[in-house]
Amino acid sequence: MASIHNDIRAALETHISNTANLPSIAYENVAFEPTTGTSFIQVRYMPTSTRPAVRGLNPQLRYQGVFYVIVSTPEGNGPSIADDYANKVINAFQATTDISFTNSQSQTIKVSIDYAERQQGLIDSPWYHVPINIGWYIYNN
Amino acid sequence: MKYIVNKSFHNKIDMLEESIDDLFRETLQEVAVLATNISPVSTGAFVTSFSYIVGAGRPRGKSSEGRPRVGQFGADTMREQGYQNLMVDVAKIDFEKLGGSLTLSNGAPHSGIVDLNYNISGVLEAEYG
Repeated sequence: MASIHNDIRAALETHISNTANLPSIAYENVAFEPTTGTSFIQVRYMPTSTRPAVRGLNPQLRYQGVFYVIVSTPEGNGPSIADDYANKVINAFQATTDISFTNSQSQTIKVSIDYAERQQGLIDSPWYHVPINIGWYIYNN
Repeated sequence: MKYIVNKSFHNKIDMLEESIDDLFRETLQEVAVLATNISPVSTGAFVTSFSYIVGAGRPRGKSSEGRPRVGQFGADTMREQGYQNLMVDVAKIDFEKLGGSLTLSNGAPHSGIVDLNYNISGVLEAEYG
């Protein structure tokens, strides 16, 4: 039986892959060779806690974490391309968005977005990176 | 009209203030544990460069240049040192006079790139807002 983390990751990754007009996406532990001069996006699934949501026996659990997205564009071309991609990601993961996902056992989960915030850009030659933190949570047994 | 506030009321307020200070201190301790535990360690320069800064203080900042790699056992020692640095900062905070901002900062020259790769600030924000 797959862990709920597989489904949460799948929900978030499917959602970003279905977002229109984004560059290629580098998924975790999947071979990806960036081409210098071509923008791309990296995604990372970072669960931070799994805690009982209520007291008592067999409580419902609250899972939460961060879906970390790094928009990487060519260095030296200004921030506008990265800003444009970052805005598209943030719009797709606006706070209070609910993302549904149905797994291969026909079980549907709903991941809720708590916040989507970008941080300041950073140059790491030959790229200009804009990190985005997407906070998510889900209640599940 | 006249209200008389007796001494026991003041004692209760004092106890409440102490409880809030303890809670604040414990939270800073938890943040310090998490920040140093999830930090990568190569030379130890990054993990030992965390500071709690009240107001406009100057953060610790060590460069990794020229430092030897510390290995797995050395990494634990460096994390412990980074944690102890933060606890020294907490011990110096006068909670009664704390009015401005209190910031967890890392002044290592390579802190930006480390945070980009490990998203330490993002994890701390998710856990402690």
